[in-house]
Amino acid sequence: MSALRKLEAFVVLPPLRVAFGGVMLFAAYQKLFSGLVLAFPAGPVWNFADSIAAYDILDKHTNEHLIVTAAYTLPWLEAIAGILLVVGLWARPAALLSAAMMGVFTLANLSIILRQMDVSCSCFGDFEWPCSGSVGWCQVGRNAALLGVAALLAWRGAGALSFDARTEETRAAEDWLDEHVKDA
Amino acid sequence: MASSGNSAAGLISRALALVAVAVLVGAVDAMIRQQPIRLTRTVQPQAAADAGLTLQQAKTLHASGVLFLDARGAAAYNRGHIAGAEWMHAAEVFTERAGALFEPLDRDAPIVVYCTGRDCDASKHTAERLAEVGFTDVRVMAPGYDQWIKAFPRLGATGAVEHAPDGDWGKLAHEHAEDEGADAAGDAATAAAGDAGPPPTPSGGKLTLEEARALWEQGAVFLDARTREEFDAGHILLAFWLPFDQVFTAHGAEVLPMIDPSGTVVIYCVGGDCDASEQTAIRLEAELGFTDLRIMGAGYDDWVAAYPDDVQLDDGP
Repeated sequence: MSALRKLEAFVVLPPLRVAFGGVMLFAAYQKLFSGLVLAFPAGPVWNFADSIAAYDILDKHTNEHLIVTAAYTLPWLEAIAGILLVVGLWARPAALLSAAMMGVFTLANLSIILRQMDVSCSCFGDFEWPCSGSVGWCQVGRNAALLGVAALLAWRGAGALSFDARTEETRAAEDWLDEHVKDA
Repeated sequence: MASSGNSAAGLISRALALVAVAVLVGAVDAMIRQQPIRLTRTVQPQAAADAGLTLQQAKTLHASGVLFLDARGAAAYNRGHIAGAEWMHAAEVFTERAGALFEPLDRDAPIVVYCTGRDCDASKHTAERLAEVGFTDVRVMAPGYDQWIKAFPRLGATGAVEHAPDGDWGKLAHEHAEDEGADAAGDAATAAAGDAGPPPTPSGGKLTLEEARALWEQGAVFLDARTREEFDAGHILLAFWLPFDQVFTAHGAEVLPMIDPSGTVVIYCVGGDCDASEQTAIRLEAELGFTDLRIMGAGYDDWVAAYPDDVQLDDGP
């Protein structure tokens, strides 16, 4: 393994992967559990469903079930992708999925700007940092940056200190053994 | 050599597997939470629409801003009609006035039509013609205006039809108006209630500023559905802060026990096209059993301009 590959595998990819996975987990937590009161168990998801409806991409009168399904599915997709990225298991598919989500979110935010609508992002529930207020170029830039990280991870993989790396090492060792047993 | 999991097809199939898992987990989550999510207020069972709306169903639609059409004669309409209702005798449906009224409307949006009472056919005739114009969700309020105004005397209004109908259609409408007028004149209670009703509400089922003010004076609870910053900067005196995204939070759990769900509750936001009030109403109605929710069509700024002494300013943290 070249020095450059080692640098990437040990210094670049693991921190990026864990940080990005953490961001995804935080986003999922905010949508699913932030402000949860046991008396109203669907409250946070309801808020997220209203946020999706506010984008006015799906008509809430005719696509109510689709919006509610998305409100339950998207946060869990973020949670699953986040967990897998943090531990480095199936990191490339998880990053690919995250990149696809970020792409969709970025396009949705762009459409808000183009349609000159006043809609809050709700990307991280009611947590607003570094962007606040209605959807604008800050949210688009943030999502595009996250999209870049996700795309890099989908391309380059989990790096070191991950279950994927362990699996690859095991596979390489098995290949080596097979080859040498065959030779013998 | 790339393993099957790292090939493009392998990556995509694994990503799709993750989507399937997320859908399943989301479905289980929805079952565990056991709280149905509703995003709209006007969903009515089809059977109810076929049988005609009850008074209570009609009132719910009225509160949510659904267009009401009065199919009686012009004279009966002028003497008293449901607040916010437009005059639309069957003979009027194809006129320019009706065309101007219908032009901006969504053809799939619900419309409620009514006439005098259970035995009148005028609302059915209007409903049939509305269907020809393309409206797909026209509902007849079976009890009619007479029952409505007895049940909800404050949700009545008086006011003249703006443009008298012309031609044969107009003649037909006027003849019908005279018939209906005779019936209405015989019902003193109805006429009195109509005269005593609040002024017309141009914003549909939403309360005008004056109607909201009257309810405020009667002690109705007011809910402010704007942002916390806007509420802190100033709000209607005695109003509670409860935007829709706070209803199901600890703040909501703190505020809601102080409000009687069977009492009159007025919700307001910034006015204009804001639908934050509507969103709060959906949650209170769907989950908490509030029965008399009103939306103030005018916004907070309108209230301040009209009643500057009845606001509370600088309520910051």
